Amino acid sequence: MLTQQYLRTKAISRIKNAHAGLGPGADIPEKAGWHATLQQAPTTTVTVVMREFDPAAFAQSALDYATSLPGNLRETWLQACTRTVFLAGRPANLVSRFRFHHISDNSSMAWTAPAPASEQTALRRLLKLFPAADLPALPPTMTARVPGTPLTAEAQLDVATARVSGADYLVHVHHLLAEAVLTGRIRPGTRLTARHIPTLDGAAHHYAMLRIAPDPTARERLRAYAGLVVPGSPAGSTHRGPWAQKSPCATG
Amino acid sequence: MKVLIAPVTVTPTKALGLSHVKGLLWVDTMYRATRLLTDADYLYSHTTYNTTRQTAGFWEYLDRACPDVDASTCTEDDVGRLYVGYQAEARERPTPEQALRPYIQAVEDSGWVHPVSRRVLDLWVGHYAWLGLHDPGITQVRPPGLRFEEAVDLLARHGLCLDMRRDGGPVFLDATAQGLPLRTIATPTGHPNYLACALRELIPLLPRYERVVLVHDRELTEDYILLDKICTTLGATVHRVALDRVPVDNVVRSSRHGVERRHTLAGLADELGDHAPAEALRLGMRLYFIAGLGKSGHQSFRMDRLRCTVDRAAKLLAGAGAGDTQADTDAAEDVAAFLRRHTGGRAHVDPYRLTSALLARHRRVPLHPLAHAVYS
Repeated sequence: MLTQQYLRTKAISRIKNAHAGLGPGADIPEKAGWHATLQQAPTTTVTVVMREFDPAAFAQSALDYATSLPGNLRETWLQACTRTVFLAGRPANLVSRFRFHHISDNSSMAWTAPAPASEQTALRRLLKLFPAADLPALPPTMTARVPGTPLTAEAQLDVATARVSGADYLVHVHHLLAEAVLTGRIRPGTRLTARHIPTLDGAAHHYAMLRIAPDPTARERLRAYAGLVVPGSPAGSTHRGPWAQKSPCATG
Repeated sequence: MKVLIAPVTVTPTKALGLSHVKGLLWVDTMYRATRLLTDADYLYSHTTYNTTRQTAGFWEYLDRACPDVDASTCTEDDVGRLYVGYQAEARERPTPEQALRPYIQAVEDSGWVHPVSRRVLDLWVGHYAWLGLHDPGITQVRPPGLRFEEAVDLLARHGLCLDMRRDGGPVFLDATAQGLPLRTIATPTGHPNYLACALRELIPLLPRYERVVLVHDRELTEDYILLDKICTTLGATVHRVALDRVPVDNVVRSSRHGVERRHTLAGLADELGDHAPAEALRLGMRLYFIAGLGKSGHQSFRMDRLRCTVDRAAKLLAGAGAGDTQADTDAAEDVAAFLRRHTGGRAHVDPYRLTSALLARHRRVPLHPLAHAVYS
């Protein structure tokens, strides 16, 4: 069950690991203020420019982006509270002025490399935040593949859709997919099937990774917005592996 | 060289204030002087902009909150006060788009104008006649050449528009390739603002003109730079002219907050109606609002100076050469050359340079032909 106690334990564990990456002095409160800590100012930002909302292309491109990050940028991401900012824009209009790390195959999305937020100020000034409107109708399932030699490995991504805006959907899915790749939880070549469901079902699945964030509709409560199911992962595996060693904050 | 002069349109929701008078005189002088040199058109359609929230929202307010207004007898001042009431309400509670739809639909379908704005426009026709302004068709129905969706499609094909409506966002004008920020031109439900209206009107006209002159308030410069870039990307050659508003006692007040009658065109007519013959009055008004105040807003309006300038105009007109047929004929031959010297190398005449030149003391000026053709 995804109880509040469970989600809180997981969330604090993630913050601790991220802070461990920040070095000494980056202390966090053990009991008081954990909720605020989840929303603290991030140190690293990735800016994603999107021409339109296309969930299947987005999931595939997020996997492509995460896979394309070289080792030093992976470390940058994992050792900081990485914030992802989604902006409405046409990548084609911006490529002559701004340097993007990755552009989607259909040219509708572009990613900057993880960097201090100040390095992306000029881009953010030109564009507007991606609309935080209600989610449009989503396909019940969709598939994507982690770039690399095809494997027989498969994974399942559950994404919560009830009380989730389009902008929040992007943040949650992006964080979970990027971190799943960066921590090695899903390997190159893995075929990923994503399910859109109103809420995650902790009783039916053992999630190897969870995207946990404050629930804006319920004060001081946490919610699991996305979860990764990796066949063969034993129950309770969320406590082990590279994910548990280095994981960013749950901030968007 | 075919030139299109396209100024910002004053919405028929209030009295014409001093800044409006300045803008109208500048554009009128530019148009009439340029027309003497080349083929020029003056673009001014109220129909195009009557779908904006500023106008349609005011009409909805009139019908809902002030249903007893007698449109056949109300004055501009009355309308101006109602407009202040509308703006105050709109700042607190913007009119729901649903409530605007019947008005927008009627404008789109037939060019419908609310009786109160029709009354305002009728009064403005009188003001135009008093000032000797060319009437570009302020009471005519002139729908823009493109529907909104056609404009969005065309802009999107050129990479100049980002339509986020499918994702619950607005429609943006996108000149980010040229370093300009995204600018909203329509709400998520597709209600366009004045920039979208301007594009609906301008885009289909661009291929017909070799030069386009956009005349705008200085405070709209950011939007007009964007409009300039968009039109340029679509193949037009554009020149912008930015005019500052006219301060009163060093303060620029928007008509959204109300304007005293003495600072409206009707108020100026009250003051100056019998002060001088019509020709001197019209020339004097132009000398003051164009050459006297200039493009900038450094000088506050001074009624005493306006009156003096009208007196000076009367003296100029009565000066040497007045009534001298031969002198006028000679001067007329010089008019084109004289105007050309005041274009700054552009296709259109610069109203400031031309009007200031009329005041030159030691140069021959074809005053009477110009006064007749441009300044009265």
